[in-house]
Amino acid sequence: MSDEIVFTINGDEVKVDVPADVPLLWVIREELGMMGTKFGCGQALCGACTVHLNGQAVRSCVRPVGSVRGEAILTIEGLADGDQLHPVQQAWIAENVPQCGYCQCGQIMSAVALLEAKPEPTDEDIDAVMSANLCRCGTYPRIRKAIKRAAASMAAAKHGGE
Amino acid sequence: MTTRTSRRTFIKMGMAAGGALMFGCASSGRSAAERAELLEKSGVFSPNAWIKIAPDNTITYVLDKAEMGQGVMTSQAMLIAEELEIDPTTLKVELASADYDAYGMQMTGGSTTIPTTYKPLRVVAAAAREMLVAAAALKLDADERDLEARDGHVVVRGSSKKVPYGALVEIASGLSVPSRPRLKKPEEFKVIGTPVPRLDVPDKVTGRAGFGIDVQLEGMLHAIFIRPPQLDAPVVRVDASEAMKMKGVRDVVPTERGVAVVAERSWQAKRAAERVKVTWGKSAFADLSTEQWRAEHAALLEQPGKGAIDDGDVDAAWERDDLTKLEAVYELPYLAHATLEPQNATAWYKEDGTMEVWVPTQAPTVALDVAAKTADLPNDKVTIHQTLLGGGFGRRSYEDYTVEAVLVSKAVKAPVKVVWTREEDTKLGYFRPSFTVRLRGSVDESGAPVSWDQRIVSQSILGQMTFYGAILPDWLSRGTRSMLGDVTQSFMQSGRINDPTSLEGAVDRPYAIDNYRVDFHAHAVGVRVGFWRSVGNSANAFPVECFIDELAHAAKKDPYTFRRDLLAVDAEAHARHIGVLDLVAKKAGWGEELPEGWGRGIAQHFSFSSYCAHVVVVEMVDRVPHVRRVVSAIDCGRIINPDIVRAQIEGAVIFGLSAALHQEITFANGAVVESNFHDYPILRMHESPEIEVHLVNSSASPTGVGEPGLPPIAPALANAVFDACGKRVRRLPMLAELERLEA
Repeated sequence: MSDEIVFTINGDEVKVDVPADVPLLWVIREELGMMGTKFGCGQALCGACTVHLNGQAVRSCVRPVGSVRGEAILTIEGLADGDQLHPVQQAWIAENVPQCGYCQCGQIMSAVALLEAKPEPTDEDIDAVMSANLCRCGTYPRIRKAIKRAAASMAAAKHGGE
Repeated sequence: MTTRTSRRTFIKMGMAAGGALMFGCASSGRSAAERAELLEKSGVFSPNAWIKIAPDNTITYVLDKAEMGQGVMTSQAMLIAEELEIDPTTLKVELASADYDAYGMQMTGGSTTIPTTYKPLRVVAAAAREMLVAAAALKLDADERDLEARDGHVVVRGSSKKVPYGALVEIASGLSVPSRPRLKKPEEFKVIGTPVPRLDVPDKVTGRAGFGIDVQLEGMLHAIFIRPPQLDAPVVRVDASEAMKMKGVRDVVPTERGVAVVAERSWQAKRAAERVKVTWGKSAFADLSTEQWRAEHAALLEQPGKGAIDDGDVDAAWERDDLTKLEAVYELPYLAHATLEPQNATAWYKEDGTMEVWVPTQAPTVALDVAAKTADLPNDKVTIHQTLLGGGFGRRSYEDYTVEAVLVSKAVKAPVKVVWTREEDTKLGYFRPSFTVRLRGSVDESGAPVSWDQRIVSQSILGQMTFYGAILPDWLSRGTRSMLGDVTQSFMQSGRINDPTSLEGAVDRPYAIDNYRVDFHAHAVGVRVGFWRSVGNSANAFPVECFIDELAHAAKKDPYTFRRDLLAVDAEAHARHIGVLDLVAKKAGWGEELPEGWGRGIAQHFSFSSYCAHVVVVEMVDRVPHVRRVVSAIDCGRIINPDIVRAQIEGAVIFGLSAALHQEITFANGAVVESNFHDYPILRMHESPEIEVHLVNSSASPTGVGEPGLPPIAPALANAVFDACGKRVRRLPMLAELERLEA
């Protein structure tokens, strides 16, 4: 019996034929061939697998693909608008955040969700949300700075400024 | 393609561990025939193994170092761009495959990239520049002295006439490579010393960056391993009958490292693995436990070890009645690397007797040798493709994952990707070995230290190394290499020669103390140990910088000035130690009042030819230390990219705090206890302090920064905790020890 699961990823509809309890992470990487979402722990402890499910940051390594039937997934590949990088990605570049870079797609996805929920995050807000994402290379100080920078540029854009 | 390393290159080679790594013989440039061939086949001007210039002005450089976050992709680009007179951000980068002929023994580690390439890489770029100028002279029928290279062009001075490098490709390819080109003087630098944005960052924020785990090949299979419940227990029997019926499963392959389940998708392999029945044999480590090795260390502390330093008369000092005496035992655990990208490799053993391997590795030529040996193929039939590394820290030099991918691919005759789970990654370490260090010291009435007696017990890393054969050059026969490797290994393991990596950071003697002894026991446990960021320094700086602090307090002196005075006895030799120490003390406001429950600790350490000091500020909250601020100073000679240096020190601080506060690998019933980030934690955002890094402006020869930031952070933290609450934490990880001290 075919068990096709249909959902939207980065705006495109996809159909996958895998058991419903396969984690979304492996569907994204191995069925769809999209490698930006990373495997780090398989237990939702590190955040490298973070994607958005209907706008909320979730850890795809423990999210069964069957549970996203009909839902909208956003991955790092869908964040930029064509060539135009998301302000969070631009801030990450401006602050030279990444070192090895393996955790950074997950960090960015968490940060984008944070800023959508809290456009002017305090340090406590940043701590609360970003403590779900591990960085072995220790880029936390720069992540914090980049989030604040992105918040400022997003606020300025919203108010029609530069 | 031949893979023979010349004898001349071998003589330039030092041992991989800790020493300066040699730089390939290709600084003499490509031969005329090679240049002509590249021009014809690829249309590029390539005077050496690093630089390729295309007619459309695209300039590519080949990175023969592993980019694992430390920024070599950018720093190497900067060295080339400086002498080649181009904008470094316009360089395209290729990751070098394993190639002895071109790059010698490729290994990235030991904080050696900058010091070993600073001059040689500039030489290859300067040679290319001079060839382009000479080519332009011919093309324009001009005098070379009227020409100069600028911004990717050769320009005629005093005119607007200029020729892009791309237009000179054919002519330049026909010129001979100058062996001693002119290098710029530092006052002429436009690129070196500036914070050029990292070249790898854009791909790392868009998901385009390719790590080893991201390799995809047509027809590729995934292998998941079933591991023994105790270290190295052999496979006795496998019943794969149920698993082989499951969807997508291709094969079940027993190996000496466990049983590989091979399927079209990794989730299929994982499910099938749950249905495989494995009978395991007896493990040689069945009785291994943390209690066991700790007891063995404690017993060894009671006996003299192999001497490393013995000056004056430490025993006589210890007998004196008129001195204040201190004794302390410091204990550091085994540590795992915990790279965020788990270990992985992809191998394709082909029917035509060749093999390709894709692996995130710090040592491509070791991977080549190991892969060829495992597959029983000659080296020249094997290609090792390099990828980006999701962290290295020393772990990615050991190629055990490469062995696994090769074994399985050969068995199933298809491309196979092996990706470890986090549990495997935590448990299958080449761990930083545990260290137990006893210090006995004394100070006299005036507060001057009189004696220092240090006994170190640790498992020798070099005695453990199983890849000596791989790092010896391949013009030695395989048999000879294997024999030399075994001999070296047994010398180290038996303690006949002291393992320099076990002693590094313990024998520098920066502090002037007359009666000084250091001895060492190589404790053979057999657990796989290896290089973990800053190696022996990662452990040895802790007892040294904690005990000097304890002596300072015993002498009723300020810990900063106590150190400074002892360093200043030979102020010239220790000018740079004093430099970083003074800088952090000043910037951290050493001596200023702190609120109740807050404390400051200081530490300095010299490692990998660089000097680093930290001041850590903690606040004790419910008897738990919270690190609020770290002030750091780094002296690494002439700085190539100040932002990258800063980032490396920030990262080392967090890496070191993770270990100092949280991390240990323990053993019970012959197995590693820890498995994932809940029991082998990494510092998180909310625990991360404010970090302020101060760079010493120096014109000394450039030295590395990958590791030097790490050793002084744990002792600075312990010293801060003492300052805050009067408790000496001598056993790491700190939070576990504080709980023990409370109980």
